[in-house]
Amino acid sequence: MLELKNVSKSYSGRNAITDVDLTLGPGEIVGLFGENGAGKTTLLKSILGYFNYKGTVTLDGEPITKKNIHRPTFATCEHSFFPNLSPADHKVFYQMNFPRFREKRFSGLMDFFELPMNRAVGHFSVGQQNQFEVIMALCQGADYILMDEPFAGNDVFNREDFYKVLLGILEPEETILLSTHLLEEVESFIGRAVLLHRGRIAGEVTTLELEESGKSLMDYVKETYRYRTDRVVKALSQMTEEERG
Amino acid sequence: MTKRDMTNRNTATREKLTGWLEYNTPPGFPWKNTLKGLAWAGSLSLLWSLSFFYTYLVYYDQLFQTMLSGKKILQENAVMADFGFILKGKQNGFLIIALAMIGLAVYHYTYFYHGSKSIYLMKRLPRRSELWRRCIVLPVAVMAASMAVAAVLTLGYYAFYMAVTPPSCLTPGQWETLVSVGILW
Repeated sequence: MLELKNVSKSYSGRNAITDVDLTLGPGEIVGLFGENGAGKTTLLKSILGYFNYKGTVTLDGEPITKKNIHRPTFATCEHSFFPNLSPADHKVFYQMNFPRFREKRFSGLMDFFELPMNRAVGHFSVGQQNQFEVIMALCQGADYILMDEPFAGNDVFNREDFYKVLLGILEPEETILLSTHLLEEVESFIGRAVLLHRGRIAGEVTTLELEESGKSLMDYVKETYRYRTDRVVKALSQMTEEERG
Repeated sequence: MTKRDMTNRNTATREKLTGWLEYNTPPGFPWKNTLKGLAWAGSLSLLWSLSFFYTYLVYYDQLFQTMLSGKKILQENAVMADFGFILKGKQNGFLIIALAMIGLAVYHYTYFYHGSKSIYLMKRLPRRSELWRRCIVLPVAVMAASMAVAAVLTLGYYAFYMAVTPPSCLTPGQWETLVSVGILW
């Protein structure tokens, strides 16, 4: 179980995330949502220990150190692959460093997405690079797969394919924390949604709870953020009146 | 050893070197360019260092007087310029290479931010030493090699200086002049 307690991070005095408490159990698929600058990326990077933060992050009760750092992985829209290496070279590098590397899954996903095995990843299209980034995260052999806007730049069909493949290949103990703006697309397969607003957890709901209440995820998000639906109409009528006057 | 054995041996050595370089530089790093640069810098440093002999010969020549017949005879009370004085600045090329290696180590680190943020992957490797190994092993090795070459050449020049200079022109404590004069600049 991945557990965050009172996790806070500030950049030059400005709070990026504040007192975040979050628990991810084995096999869960959790969506992490929030406006731009809500602290989603900071939260994911804090889990991986990319910078210092206040609070604690534990994996089955243990802090994340070199002993268990192989258990979480990260797919980011910033990309963490080596642009001058080919997928085949990446495979060798991962096998050297991650003993639980899933070779069969790697070959299967590379075939499915028809990615060239021997061309430098830096020469791929952005969509292909995103696919490759996610493939490596899924094949590392990690239990906790953290994804930060992994499909930014991919077309809708591509994303659809990926969701299907993702659901098809995940094993029961694999946990996903997926940060994205594509609420409607992921609603059907996440089990829980966590909403961040200005660095704090603004809401948390399971899809079962949403189903029971008859609300969609988008309704829940709008409600939680107190989104004013009349805001646009008011602004437009104000602008058109000014022009007429 | 046959020609074929020699070829096989060269290929094996080259593969070993390539493997070592790939293992000790950031993945995908264009180390061939680094090697080319080092080969140029090393050659120029060596040429500059070998100019020791030219400087030596200039001072050596001053020990002699040329007679009308063209014959050279050793001047009375002639004193050879100090070893440290002749060598001064001749090993600077190797020192510059060694110092440049600090820059190469920094460049290796920043390479993990080029074109992607592969630093994120490096920072979550179970072997934490992997990141630092790939940043500093090559620069440290080149730094050490550069200093070693400079040291060996200095010893060779010293042996040459002591062997070729007429004993009557030598002043005692020549090795110490390396320190008193300083071999840099």
